[in-house]
Amino acid sequence: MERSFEILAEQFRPMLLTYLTALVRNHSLAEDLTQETLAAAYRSLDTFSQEGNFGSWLRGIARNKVRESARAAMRRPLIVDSRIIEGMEEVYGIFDNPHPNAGSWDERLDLIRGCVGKLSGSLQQAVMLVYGQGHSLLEAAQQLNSSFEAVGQRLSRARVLIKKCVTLQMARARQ
Amino acid sequence: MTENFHNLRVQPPQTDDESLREYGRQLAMDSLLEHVLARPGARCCTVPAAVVVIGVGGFNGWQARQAAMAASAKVAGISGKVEYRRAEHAHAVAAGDVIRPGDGLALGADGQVTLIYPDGSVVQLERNTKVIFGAGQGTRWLGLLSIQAGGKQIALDAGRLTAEVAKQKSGQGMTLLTPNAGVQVVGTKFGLGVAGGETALAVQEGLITMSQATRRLDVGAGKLVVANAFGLETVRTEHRPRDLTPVTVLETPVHLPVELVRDGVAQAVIYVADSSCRASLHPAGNAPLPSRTELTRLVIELVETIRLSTGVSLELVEAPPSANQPAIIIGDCEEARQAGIEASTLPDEGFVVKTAHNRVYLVGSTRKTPASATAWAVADFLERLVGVRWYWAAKYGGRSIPTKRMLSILPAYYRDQPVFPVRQVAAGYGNENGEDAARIERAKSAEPLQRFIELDRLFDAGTHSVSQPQLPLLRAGGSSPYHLEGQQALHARLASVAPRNVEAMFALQADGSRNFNVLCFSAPETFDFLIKGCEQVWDKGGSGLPGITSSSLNLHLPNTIGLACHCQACNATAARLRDDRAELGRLAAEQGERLAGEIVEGRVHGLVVGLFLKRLCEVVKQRWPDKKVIYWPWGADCPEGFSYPDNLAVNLLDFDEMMALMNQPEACSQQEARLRAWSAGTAPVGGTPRGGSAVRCITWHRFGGFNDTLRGPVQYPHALQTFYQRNQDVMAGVRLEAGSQSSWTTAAPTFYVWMRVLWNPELDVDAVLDEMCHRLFGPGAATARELLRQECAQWEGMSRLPRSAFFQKIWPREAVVRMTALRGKALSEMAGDPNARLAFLHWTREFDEFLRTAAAAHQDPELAAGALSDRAGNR
Repeated sequence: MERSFEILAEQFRPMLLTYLTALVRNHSLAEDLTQETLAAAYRSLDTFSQEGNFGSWLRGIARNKVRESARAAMRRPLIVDSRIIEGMEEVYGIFDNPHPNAGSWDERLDLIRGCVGKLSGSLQQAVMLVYGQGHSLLEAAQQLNSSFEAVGQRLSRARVLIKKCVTLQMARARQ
Repeated sequence: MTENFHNLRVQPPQTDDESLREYGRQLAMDSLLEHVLARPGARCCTVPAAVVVIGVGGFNGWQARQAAMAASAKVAGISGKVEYRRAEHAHAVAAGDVIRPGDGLALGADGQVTLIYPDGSVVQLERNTKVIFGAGQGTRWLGLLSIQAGGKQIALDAGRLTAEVAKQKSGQGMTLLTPNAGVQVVGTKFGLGVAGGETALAVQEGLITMSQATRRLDVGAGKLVVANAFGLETVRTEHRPRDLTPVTVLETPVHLPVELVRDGVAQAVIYVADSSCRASLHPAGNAPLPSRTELTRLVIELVETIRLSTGVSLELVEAPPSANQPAIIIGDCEEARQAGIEASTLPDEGFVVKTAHNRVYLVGSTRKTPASATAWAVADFLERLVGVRWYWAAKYGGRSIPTKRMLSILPAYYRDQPVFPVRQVAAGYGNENGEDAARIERAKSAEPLQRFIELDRLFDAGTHSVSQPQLPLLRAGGSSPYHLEGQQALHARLASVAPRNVEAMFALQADGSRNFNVLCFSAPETFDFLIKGCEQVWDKGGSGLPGITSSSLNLHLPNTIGLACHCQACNATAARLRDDRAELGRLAAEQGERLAGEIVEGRVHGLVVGLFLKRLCEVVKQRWPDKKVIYWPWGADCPEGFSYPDNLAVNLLDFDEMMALMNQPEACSQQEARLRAWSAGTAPVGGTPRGGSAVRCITWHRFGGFNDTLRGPVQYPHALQTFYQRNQDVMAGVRLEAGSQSSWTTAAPTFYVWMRVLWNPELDVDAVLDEMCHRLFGPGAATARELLRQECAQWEGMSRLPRSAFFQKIWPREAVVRMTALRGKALSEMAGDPNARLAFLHWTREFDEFLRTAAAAHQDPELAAGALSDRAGNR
């Protein structure tokens, strides 16, 4: 039991860290919460249904950890709205499904890399400057000799295309 | 994944269900893309070099050009290192340069830039700041923040800026973006700073909208708001941790937090205005170190605790730092006066803590004790604003310092002063090493009489090594004008230097001979002898008689049982008490005949010396109005019908260990009656009375004494607080003496509260004890607190001191068993925390001795079984 949980935990750790970083916007806090989430998951493993979605279950525990952490700091958590959480779940849920060639969650995320490669040149540039190199929108606009808005629109378009592309690939894999 | 708020994508302004779901999808995609693409080795697609274009462009048409012009700023002032950053290129900025949308600026550690926009808005960038300028070309949404066309935009990546923004045209407001917040300005004065994952906004005038993700906050003038991983929070600057005494909060200034340390790098320096203190901190060459004052001690502690908290040492500078350099300014100086702090008008030992832009001022009163008053400002700053506590010596785990990578001081402005101006501690019995340690051990195993002899020897040795450095941190000392000269047998010393050929000065014994160890206080020759001694010191600057110091004359009641002199004058004075048959009969009925006689003779003794004292005070007041007379009546009652001049203070020594019993009505009322009787006829002792009464007494106590004699954990912090709250109108303070080692170990919580209560008895004692246990005992805090609670309850719960079987009644068998269990449980909870364990073992150092005594007292050897068998190993 312990060993199999360790294996699962290691597979899902990157997903949790990414998810928690999106929720709390603080990498070191997200790391701490990832650890706490996994520890809490192990303690309450008997409450997890074998038919359930393990990734979704972990993210639920993670959200509770965020709330606890905010309470301990006597502050409100940043992301509290259930509709925002629904939107996030919709995207993260895509990667919860099994894929024949991508066993781990991280391997499934490689599909994103492939989908970015299929974008047009201008969209790719914007995506890589902002997400790959960590530039702000203003910096990216400066480098691309473009406006803030134009870069924002390119990124928005790129996200929609990448999501569609990944969803399609996961669906094909299931068929 | 980066944490840049700049990267929050365009979001519809509506907050309907679908918009918020879409925002959630966007957040999720952002996090996944950054996770996948920002990983080392993630190079699925690279940015073609051709797209990296230098310069500004992309503006088409008249509207765009107008927007760009409106969003351009001119460099009006510059100092230090400041660079343009346009794409990959960097070059120095000069005054007169125009900063256009798309430009970036990076300021060095000494950099400062003032920018002026065409509409008169002024933005000042501070040291170590990085910004990028932009201009909107169409309305869009960033979180809930609307960024409008033609507006000024500044992305603040790091550092801080202050701005005074002119009223902006509709749709052209200024927008500032930081890594975790957005700020929109229509016209106002404010400061904005980014550090350690937080954005701080201080609004001085007008109204500013701050936004983060799906939240929005309108921030009005006088507010400081912080945005971080948990959202937006208005910072309240009350500065009243529950475990500290209250201060008088003045109008809090509005500015960004003063950065002392950022990301493990020192941002601020320390400037000490007092040159002698600076010299003692930086002794020149091989010059001997000047004597260290309380201020020097606290400045050293300031540097040390900030280093331990952040890992960074702040530099002590020799000259006043520039306005651009964040600094802690310590003591009265021109800059502090310009900041509105008039040290000369502060009461004795009073101090002010005030912050301003880039400044923390810690200034004490320049009256009487400037070094210690400023030291108290430093101590309060460290406790209240940095979070340090000094419960007992650091080497025994008694110092608590919160660790942090960032240390910024929120806006603050408050003042404080002690309630009791006399807070003296004779810190003997502190040395654990060498001969003193051996004496302590001998004392522990000795018979009662021998034990006290050993302890008294220790006291005479006056060794201070363990506790002495701790005392300034707890603001021991005071501003009393009196130099208390009382440890030695002062009266005997005075008699020993009196001229023996003037026989009338000495007590006449019943057999007609003179007692050359005791003076006669009715003799005019004795009076003249003392007045000449005062002239010798106060008029001629020479050395004088025992007890005469530069500021005061100390007079002790002779330590004899009753009046020792049988001369005609003394007998005549005594007759009115000795002949009061009715009073003698009343006392005999109450106390027995023998004791009644002793009481009357004690009163006679006090009356004769009291009359002498009254005349002495009158002459001293007339001839030396700035000098004081301090009378040490020991246990004598105040003679009735006296009215002394206001230059007299009384040092009551008879309380000894009685303070430990002040929760007992009988003991307390007796002591209070004596205190109030003396105070009714005596003078103010330094400081400014708060209670309205001008009459104060100093009392003298020994703490830790009951711990020694009973060998039990005696705690009475609540009783102390009640006593001082009730009697602050008639008391000037105390002189405290330690018992043996247990004073600094078992009694440490009581001693800590005692020192706090002397500063101000308006204290939440339980909050102090809660915080102490929480900070010191880590995983065992709750259990340790329960043990401390029980120690207090066992002692403070006594309604009167038992006349027999002390130990068994104070600590019944079941209480000993429970306390032993709590000690064991706490230790096991702290097994993995060596710091907590060190502190706990220090506090409970005498606990094994308690158990052995309990076993003997209850005739139950089982009770001793709880002692730590391998004490050394458990340390």
